[in-house]
Amino acid sequence: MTDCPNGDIRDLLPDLVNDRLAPETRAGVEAHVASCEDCREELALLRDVRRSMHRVPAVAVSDIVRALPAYRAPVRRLGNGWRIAAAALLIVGGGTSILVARDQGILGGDSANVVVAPVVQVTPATPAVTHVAASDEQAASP
Amino acid sequence: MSDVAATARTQADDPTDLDLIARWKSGDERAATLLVERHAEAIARFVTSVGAREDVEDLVQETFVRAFGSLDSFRGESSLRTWLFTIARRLLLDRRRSERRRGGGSRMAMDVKDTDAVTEYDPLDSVVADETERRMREAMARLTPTQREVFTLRVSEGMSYREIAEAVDTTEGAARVHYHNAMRAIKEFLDD
Repeated sequence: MTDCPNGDIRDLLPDLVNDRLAPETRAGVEAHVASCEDCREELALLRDVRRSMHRVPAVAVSDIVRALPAYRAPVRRLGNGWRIAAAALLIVGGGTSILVARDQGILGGDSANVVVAPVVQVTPATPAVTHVAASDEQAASP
Repeated sequence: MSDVAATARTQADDPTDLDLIARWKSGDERAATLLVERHAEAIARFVTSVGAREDVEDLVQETFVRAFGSLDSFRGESSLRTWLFTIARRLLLDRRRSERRRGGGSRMAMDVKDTDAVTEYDPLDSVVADETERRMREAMARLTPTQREVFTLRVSEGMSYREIAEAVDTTEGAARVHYHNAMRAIKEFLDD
């Protein structure tokens, strides 16, 4: 069995066997096959192969349908984008509320009422030895 | 059931697969029956041709169970049948791998790699009808697993190379080459 040199036609032979060609293409392929012994042999071979493949044991449709799971619609979850947007909204909303409250004096925004913490000056502690010596002097004096 | 009818349904009394999926999602169980009736035979032919033996029905059922369990992930970019072939093929490969791990492998001859060219494969020996069919199956047995998959989908189901590439996870060009190599191998076997 030899191959027809027309690769395009050979490529379409399975479509001809499965009746999947548009009418005009089908007419062209059939005209070629009529005049080409190689293609006629290949077409007969394809039909034999297809026939043998189509002999399969029957499948029990009802058994399959009974085994199918019930449909469950997917649960919609917020994605990360929504989470970020929600967090940003919270921050902006919270900040705006503070500013508005301060402008209206709710938070004691009046500068006159602002309590300034006193500056605490820290001086170094007197060395312990000096303190002891002073005590010694007081003790030694009459 | 004709393959053409299964793939080109546009009339109201012959709803598309997407119509039936939508109906099933809204609670119409009859839609599921129609979908299974429409595609079960093709899936059975495919798994049989590529190596499944006595567990054909179980494989077909598992294919539909998995498909219906994840129908929300089916976007309709390929045909439902192509998607079902993809699921069936993965199931076959998974079973083959687990059989290998258990040291078995006698029930299915399908393999993952193309390098195992010739296998002890005769999936339809229980329904051999005549000499021609027996010769056809012997010829198919000479093919590599990928050649067998591609050849089956092309000849038995009439799928395009693009659809086949999607189903067997390869490229359109590679699918075409596999088909023609398979055809050459079958001719050589029959000429001997």
